Amino acid sequence: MERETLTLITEGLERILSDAPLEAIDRAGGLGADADALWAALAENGYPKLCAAEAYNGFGAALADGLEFATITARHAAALPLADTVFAAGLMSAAGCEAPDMRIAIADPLDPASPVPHAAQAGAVLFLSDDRLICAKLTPDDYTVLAKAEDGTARLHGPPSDVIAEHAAPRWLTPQAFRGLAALFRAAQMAGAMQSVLSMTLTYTQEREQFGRPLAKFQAIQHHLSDIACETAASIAAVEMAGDALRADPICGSGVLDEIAIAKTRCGEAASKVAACAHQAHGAMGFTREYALGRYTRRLWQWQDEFGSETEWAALLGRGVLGDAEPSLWPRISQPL
Amino acid sequence: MFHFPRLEFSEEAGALRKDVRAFLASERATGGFVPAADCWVSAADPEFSRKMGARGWLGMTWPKAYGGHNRPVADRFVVTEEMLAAGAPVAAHWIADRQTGNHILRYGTEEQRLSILPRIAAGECFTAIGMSEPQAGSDLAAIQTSATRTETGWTLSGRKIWSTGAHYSHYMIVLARTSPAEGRNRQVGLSQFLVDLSLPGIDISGIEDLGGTPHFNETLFENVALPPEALLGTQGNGWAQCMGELALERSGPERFLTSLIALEHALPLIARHADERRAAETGSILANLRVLRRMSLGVAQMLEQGESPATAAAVVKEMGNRLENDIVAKLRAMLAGIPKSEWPVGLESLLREAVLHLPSNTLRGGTTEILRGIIAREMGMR
Repeated sequence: MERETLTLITEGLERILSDAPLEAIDRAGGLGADADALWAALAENGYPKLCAAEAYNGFGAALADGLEFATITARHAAALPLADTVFAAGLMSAAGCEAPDMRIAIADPLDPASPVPHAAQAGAVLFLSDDRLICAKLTPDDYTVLAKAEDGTARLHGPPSDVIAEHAAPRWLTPQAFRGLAALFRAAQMAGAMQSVLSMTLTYTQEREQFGRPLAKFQAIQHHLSDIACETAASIAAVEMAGDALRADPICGSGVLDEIAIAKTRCGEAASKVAACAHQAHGAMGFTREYALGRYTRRLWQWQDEFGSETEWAALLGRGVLGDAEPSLWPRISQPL
Repeated sequence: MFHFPRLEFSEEAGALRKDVRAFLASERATGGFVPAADCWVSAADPEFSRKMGARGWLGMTWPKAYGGHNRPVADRFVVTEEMLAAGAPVAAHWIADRQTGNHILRYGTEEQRLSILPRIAAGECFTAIGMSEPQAGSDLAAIQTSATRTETGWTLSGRKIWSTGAHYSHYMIVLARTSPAEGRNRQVGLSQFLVDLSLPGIDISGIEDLGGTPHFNETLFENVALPPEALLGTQGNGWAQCMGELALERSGPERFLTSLIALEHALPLIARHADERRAAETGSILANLRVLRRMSLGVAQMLEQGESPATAAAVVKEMGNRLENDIVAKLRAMLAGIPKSEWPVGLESLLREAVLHLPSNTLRGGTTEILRGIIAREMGMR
């Protein structure tokens, strides 16, 4: 997709999200009239089908372009499955079918028993089974919502049977590629949430005074902010690097999967550090349900575990290195960008 | 401070990388060098520097008129990162090629450029940094070295410390006070001088580092008579010039590739004892290094475009330094439980060397605390 077109679309998305009552939607778990109205506004603009081909009522953007959507929705901590629906509609389009006009959750093909994020917020779930891409309807009878989890994450009772669309998956869409792409979307979301955590923590420490001066004037606090900024910058760079690789090879070859593993590892590591520093700087205020910081950090902690934690992805990378005939990091580090 | 532009390598850069690797393999095979950790600080070999100069791998980005090769910044990055990854003895020319030469190119007179840059590019002229003093470390503006005008030029008096390689260098860029501070503003009245270290009145004495290597020095300047053309750049502009120099100093691959050589040496052994824990540690190091390299390349790109990305450079150095120390810690953890009888020759000493350099990673070129302060200032906290 042309850069200019994508910019116009992302600006539109920013506007809609900025005007929406996101805190109230979050409190309602991403359910209810406000959430429905927000989704209707997004759907009216066609945003959920950003990455679907025009033939399937989409914008024809690449999945790599969808990463920007993921980052933006995360920057707003919007309690809705926009990133996942964009992802699902993009994959269904690649398989040759149109996604239903619904909120769509996605299931981890490498760990089918793991809870499905957004299940309770979504009308359908996309999963990959025996080389078939299946989109099935979700009703409350199909799942049990997981306590203490964000965004309607729920354990499915079994593979949903009310199939809306089913198609042979493209040959390149292996369970590893599916999970990898989903992990990259989560990495992009983490990078977005971190940007907001940084700006919130900056504002808070400049306004809050203790010992007669703003917290921001204390070196110990400045160092927390510096750590948040560095980790955020690294996360953005990691997602950009994997996004560039995906743009150059949209069918997710092994080189792309390596960059994705790097991005999910790096962002996952950063998420822990950023959340810890931000909460430390916010004191008890940040540990309340009411204060907005938690909307971001709770998701950071959840996203770092979804579709493979940083430790799993790092181990995958490491096994690749250590399994080489002549194990060496440098040839991998020095790959062209 | 979050945008690190993408730097793409050309096909020529790919060919160059092959050449550099072939050169390094042949040097290693013929005993030209033994790989060392921290090679850009501790492993000086003027002969090796001359060989690099002869191949056109020094002063690569400078105009041909000054002995340079007019190549893109990505090409220089390829050469420097390959040298670091191989642990090659690049310390002699490192500072001249990385910062002094660029600094002279930017601020020097035509005469200074013509007389010094071709020699640096040939690997025959080495330089040292003259910023810190015994009483002025992180608080650089507190320096007391002074230069006063005379009828024939300047008289330089004072003491500089921690100057890596001063004992084999030909020049040092010295930051000196040329007029008093204005009240609390001590950043005014500072100037930089390009000092020929063979002049009378200069006494250089080596200081052994923690591991016993005498790589850095204290330099005493006793009423050293400098010619008028020793002034580098503009009188009174020394502070700003210094900060520009630090952007060159802080963002390169030496800020995160210094300990890698020890890890690489151990990797075949670790592979024979591969398990989930060791795989995860290895993967984490790979992820961190690859991302930081992209950011470092981004800063190189900004420098090429004429920007002075001081904060972005601080971000790279701050994370790189912590990563260096993290790599050593992870390496020790991965080696734990593997009998010493299986360790390859040289690993023990590479590891010791890396361990003994741990404190310097987060000190030299600006401490972690100073760098975090720079980043915080950029965000408006100070």
